[in-house]
Amino acid sequence: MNGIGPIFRKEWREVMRDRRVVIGAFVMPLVLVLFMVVLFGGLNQSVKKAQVQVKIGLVNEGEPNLIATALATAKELRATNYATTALAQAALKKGDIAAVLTFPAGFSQQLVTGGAQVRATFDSRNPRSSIGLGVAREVVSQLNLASVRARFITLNLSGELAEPVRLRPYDVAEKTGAAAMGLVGMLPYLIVMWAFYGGVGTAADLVAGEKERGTLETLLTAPVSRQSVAMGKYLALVGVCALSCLASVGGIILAALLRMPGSTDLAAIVGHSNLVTWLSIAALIFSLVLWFAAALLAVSSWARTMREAQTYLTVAGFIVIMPAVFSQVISFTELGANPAIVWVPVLNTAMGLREALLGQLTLGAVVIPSLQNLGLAVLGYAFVLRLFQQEAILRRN
Amino acid sequence: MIRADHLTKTFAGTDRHPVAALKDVSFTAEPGRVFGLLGVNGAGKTTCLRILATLITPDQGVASVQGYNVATQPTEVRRSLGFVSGSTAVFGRLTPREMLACFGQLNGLQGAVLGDRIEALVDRLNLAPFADRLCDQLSTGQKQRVSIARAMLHDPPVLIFDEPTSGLDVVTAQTVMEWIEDVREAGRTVLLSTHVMSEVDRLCDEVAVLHEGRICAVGTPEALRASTDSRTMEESFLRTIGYQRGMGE
Repeated sequence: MNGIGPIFRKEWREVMRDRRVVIGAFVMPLVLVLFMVVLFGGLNQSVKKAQVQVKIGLVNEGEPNLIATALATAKELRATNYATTALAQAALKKGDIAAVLTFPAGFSQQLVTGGAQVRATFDSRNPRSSIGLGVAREVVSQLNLASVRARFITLNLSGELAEPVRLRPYDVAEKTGAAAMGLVGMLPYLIVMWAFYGGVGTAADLVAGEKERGTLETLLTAPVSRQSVAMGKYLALVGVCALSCLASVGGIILAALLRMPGSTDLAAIVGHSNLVTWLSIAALIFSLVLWFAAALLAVSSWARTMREAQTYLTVAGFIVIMPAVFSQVISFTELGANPAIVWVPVLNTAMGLREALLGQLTLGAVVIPSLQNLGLAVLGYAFVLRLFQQEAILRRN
Repeated sequence: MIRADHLTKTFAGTDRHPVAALKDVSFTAEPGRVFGLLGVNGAGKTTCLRILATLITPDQGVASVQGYNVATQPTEVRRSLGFVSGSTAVFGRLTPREMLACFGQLNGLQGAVLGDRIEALVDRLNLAPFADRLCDQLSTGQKQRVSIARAMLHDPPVLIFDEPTSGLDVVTAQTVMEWIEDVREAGRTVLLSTHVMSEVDRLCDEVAVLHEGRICAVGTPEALRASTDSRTMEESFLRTIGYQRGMGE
C-alpha cells in the first residue's frame, strides 16, 4: 500500500488551495455556529427581558384605583398610562406595548362590592402580546391572592387558606438556560450537517472532477496500486469532513472565549462533561465522518462527471440531513422513547451527541451508532475499491 | 520493448450494443526505435495505448512491457513506462515542481535523488520560468512540457506518447518532437500514436496502420509508401485504409 502518503499529500495540498472548499467547509461552519450561538443567546435574553418586564398600557376610565397603582409598580410590568382606550389600542397595534388593561368607570366601587372586571386587550397574532397577557394575568392573580389573604387575616383566619393548594415545581435538569438547551438541540444537527456537506465539494472534485479533467488517468499510470490511490483520496476526504465538524466545535469555543450571548449557559453544559462524555462524542463524530467520507467518495467514483456527482450528492444530502433535522424534535414525540430509534442511521448519531451534551449518555447510544457508522463506512469504502478496480472508474458507459 | 499479441477489446456502446475497439492486434516495438500507431479518430489507437498503460485490460490476447504482463503485473509495467497523452492532464492546483515531486515519490524516488532529478528535468525542458506557478495558470504547451517531465521523471525504458502534439503551436510541437528524438537516441522504446503524417515521416522507424480496430499494415514508412505506390505518407495511409473521395462525410 505504498503511495498512500504522496497521494494524500497531493490531495490535501490541492484541497487547501481550493478557495471554495476552504470557505465552504471550514469558514462557513465556524461562522454559522457563531451565528447560532448569538441567535439563540440573543433570543434567550430577549425572552427573559420580555418575561421580566412586559410593556403594557393602562387606561383609567374612572378614578385612580388600587389595582391600577399596584400594576403600575409591579416589577414584571412596565406600565404606560393612556388617556383613552383608542390611543392605547393604537400603541398595541404598533407593537409599542404588549397588552392594554382598561379599568372602567366605577371600578373602585366594584372592588368593594365584588365583580370588578379589567378589560384586557391583546393581539393574538403577536406572541409578545400573548406573553404580555399571561404576565398581566399572573400579576392580577397575585394581587387577587394578596387581597383575599388580607381579608382572611382581617377576619382572624389564616392567610394560608387563601391558597389551599400550591404547586411547587422541582427541575432535575442542570441549571442551564434556554439558549444552551436550544444549542444542544442544534449542535448535533450542525455537526452531522457539516460532516456531510463539508466534504461534498471536495468529494465531487476528488474522483469525478479528476475523471473529467483526465488527471485521474495520469494518476493511475503511476506505479502504485489503485487501492493506494483510493485510500489516499479517502483519507484526504476524511480530513476535510473531520475539519469541517471541528470548525463547528471551534465556533462554540470561540463563542465562549468571546463571551457571546448564550455561551455562558453553554459553558455550564460543557462544564459538567467528563472524559467519558468527550470520548463518546469523539467516537460518534469520527465514525460518522468515516462513513460519510466513504459514501461521498463512492458517489463521486460512480459519477461520470463532476456535475453529475454534485447532483447525486445534493440529493444524498437531503436524505442524510432529514434524520438529523428530525433529531431536534423527536424527543417531543412518543417516537423518541422507542428503543428502535437507536438503529436508525444518522438519527442515532445525532441523538447520541445530544444525550452526551446533556449528560444523559447511555452505552448503547454510543456503541450502536458508532459500530453501525463503521460498518457503513466499510461497505461504502468497499464499493469505492470495487469501482477503482474496474475500467469504469475512468469512464462509465 | 513492447509486445502486443492478438489484443482484442470490446466496449458496451451507448445503446448497450458491444463495440469492438480492437480486433486481434499484434505488433512489437523495439528499444531505440519509434513505433508509430496510425489511425483516424476511433480507429482504436487510444484503446491500445490504454491497455499497454494498464488503464484497461484486454478481453483477449497478451501484452507486455519490458517483459512484464500488463494484466498480471501492472505495477511493474507502470514502473517501466512513461505515459504522455495529448490532453496534457496536469494537476491545476499544484505547481510543476510539486507535481513532479509527487510523481517522483510515487515512483519510489526520495530526498536528494528526487530533488536532483527534478532540477535536471526543469533545466532540460526549460520549465524554470513557470516551475513554481500553479499548473492552472500555464499555457497548453507549458502543460505538455510538464507532462513530459512527469513521464520521464523515473527514467523509464519505455515511453508512450498519445497524440503528444495535439493542440500545440508549431514551436512547442517542434520541441516535443525533438524531445522524442532525444529519447530514441537514448535507446528507449517509444510508442507514438498520431494522425499527423509529417510526424510519422520525421520520427517513426516503423508504423502500424490501425483502422476500425484492426491492423491493416505494418512496416517502415518507406516500405508502406512503396507497397501502396505512394509519394507521401499521407497518401499511403489513405490508400491503406481504403479511403475514397467523400468517405469521411
